[in-house]
Amino acid sequence: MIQIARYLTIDLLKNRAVIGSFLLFVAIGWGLFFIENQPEKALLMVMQVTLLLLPLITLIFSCIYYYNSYEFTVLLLSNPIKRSAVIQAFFIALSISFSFAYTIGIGLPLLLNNPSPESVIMLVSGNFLLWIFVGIALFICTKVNDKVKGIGLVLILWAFFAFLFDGLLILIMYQFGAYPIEKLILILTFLNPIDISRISVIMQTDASAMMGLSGAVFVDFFGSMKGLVISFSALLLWVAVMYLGSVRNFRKSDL
Amino acid sequence: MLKHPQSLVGIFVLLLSCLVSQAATFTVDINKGTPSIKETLAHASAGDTVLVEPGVYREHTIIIKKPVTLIGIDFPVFDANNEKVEILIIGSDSVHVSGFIFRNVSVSYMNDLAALKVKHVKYGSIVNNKFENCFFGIYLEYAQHYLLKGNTVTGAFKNEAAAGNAIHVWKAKHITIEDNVLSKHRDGIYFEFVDSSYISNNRSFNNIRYGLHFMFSNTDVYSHNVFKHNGSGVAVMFSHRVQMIQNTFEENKGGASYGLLLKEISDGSISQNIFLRNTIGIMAEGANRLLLSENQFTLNGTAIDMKGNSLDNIIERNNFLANTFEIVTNSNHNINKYDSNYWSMYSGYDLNRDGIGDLPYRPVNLFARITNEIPSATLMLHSFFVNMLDATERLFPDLIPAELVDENPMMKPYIYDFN
Repeated sequence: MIQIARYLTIDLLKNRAVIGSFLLFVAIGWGLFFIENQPEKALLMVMQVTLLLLPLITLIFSCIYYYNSYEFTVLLLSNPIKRSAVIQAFFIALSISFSFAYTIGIGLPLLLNNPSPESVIMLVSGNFLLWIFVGIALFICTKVNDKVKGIGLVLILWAFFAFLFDGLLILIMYQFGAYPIEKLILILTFLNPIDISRISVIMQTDASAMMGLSGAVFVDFFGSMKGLVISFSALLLWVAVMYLGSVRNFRKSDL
Repeated sequence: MLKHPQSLVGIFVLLLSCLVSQAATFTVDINKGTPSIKETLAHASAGDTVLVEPGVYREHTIIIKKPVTLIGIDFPVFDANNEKVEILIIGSDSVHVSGFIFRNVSVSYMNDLAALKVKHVKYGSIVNNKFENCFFGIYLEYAQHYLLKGNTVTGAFKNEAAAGNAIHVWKAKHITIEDNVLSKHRDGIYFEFVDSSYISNNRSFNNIRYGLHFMFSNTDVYSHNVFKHNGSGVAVMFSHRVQMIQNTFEENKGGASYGLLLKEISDGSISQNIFLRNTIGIMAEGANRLLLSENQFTLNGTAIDMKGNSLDNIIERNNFLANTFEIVTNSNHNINKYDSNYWSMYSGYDLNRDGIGDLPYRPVNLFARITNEIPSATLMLHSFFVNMLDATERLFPDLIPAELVDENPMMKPYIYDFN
């Protein structure tokens, strides 16, 4: 498995799309701090990029890469190796190369220009997000054999996590505003990895506003160290579920 | 050099007359068995000075009825042993007290027991004393022309109902409160019916309720104070012509916490203050004809919450930096004037390069409106969906007050160099 992952990683790091997204991250990372002289504001912009662009890029690229490696996968499977090793290798290689692109491309300027706990939390949750979305992409691709269908589905999922979900949450808040729905909302946010990362960052950057919440449930929950551990565990759980799901799908797939 | 040379002569005459009257100096030392402070005061006559050597004096309810000066040497201690008594009561004009430590005045639910009480007098000073674990620290009622300077008042209170104020002033005029350090009381400074007074350079922090509490007090000035980490910040209520200059309001966080709460006040000015990391920087309810200028709002949850019943205020030349919400209001109309502020959320351009943005700026955003109705929606902050809603609303204002607009938003923050 490690051998395959190594080959794939080397292949990916030479891939034009990965290099391209790395350069894009570098441009965004340095550019934002170059244009914006208030580090707090730049951090917010980095957050928007991380929450929107990063999932989109990883989802689409992982999908295309997996589908395009069809022949290679079939070739591998004809050898006497464990089936799960192949998909594990895909997951690891994609995660490593994108983590590399993100951490060096955006993380470096972020930590150099705004060395603060917020930046560290931003980076860690960004990496989690990336693994989750690699996992989601593989989960879909191993299930759906048709390339167009797969990519279409992945795009819909991205739209759902990136903004439709938040729209639904706000709708729920409006409809049930008169009831004590804080706990429900808390549980619901855990269904969206983008929301978990966003909230763990804003609990640091916009702490003053968060302290004003009458529903102190959130502040108690996310504001403390314990909350951070729980949100990161939730993200880790997401990674695990998506990873195991794709392994299971791959085992069952007709390849 | 002197405008009026005759005033110099006057001072000399005054000094001479002091020598002639031969003001006596008494020394009280508990370790040498001298008469007690009460006895000494009974013997002293007007204008005398009583020096108190270091030691623990367990006298209480000491009533000063003559204009004397009471000076502690190396901080002698008055200890009330947690009894329901007061330590020093000033009942004469021109009394000066300095250099003492007052300790352990018990909480009473019947009387406002204070370590040092000043009643119905004029012209005195309370300088460089320390108050530790007292119910009320310094308590002035019907006082005029008083100076409170360099005192440290530290309480040990946990709940509001059983806590007293560090400096409590009631029905007074011409009071100067300078350089005091006030903490862990109910209110740092409490003003009720106090006119023409001056509060400056105090530090008020970790108080349970307000750092400074102002009620029915007119024509006062407070400047250069630091209010940090108080239960709900600073409150200025039912007062007129109050000037607030160069104060720092910091770290007042919580569900009902404000840097500065304005309620039913008018004709004052709030200038050159710093509001840093408060849940709400300024909460204005029924605040009229105020001038808010050259203030710096940084990293607050809401910089200004301007309720609909506040009118004719002028908000100009302020810096709004990295606040979650800049202006919040519950009204659809705008009767205040916002002009020439720097808003860090402004994203317009400046083609003619005059430093003023070419597009007007609406500081109230839709999301602020939503969170005003559903506080828990704050959790959706910086979500892409919310940003989209905001952007559309700013283009076609429908729910946000369309008239609330800064026509001259600055492109760069002002550089103010105060504090």
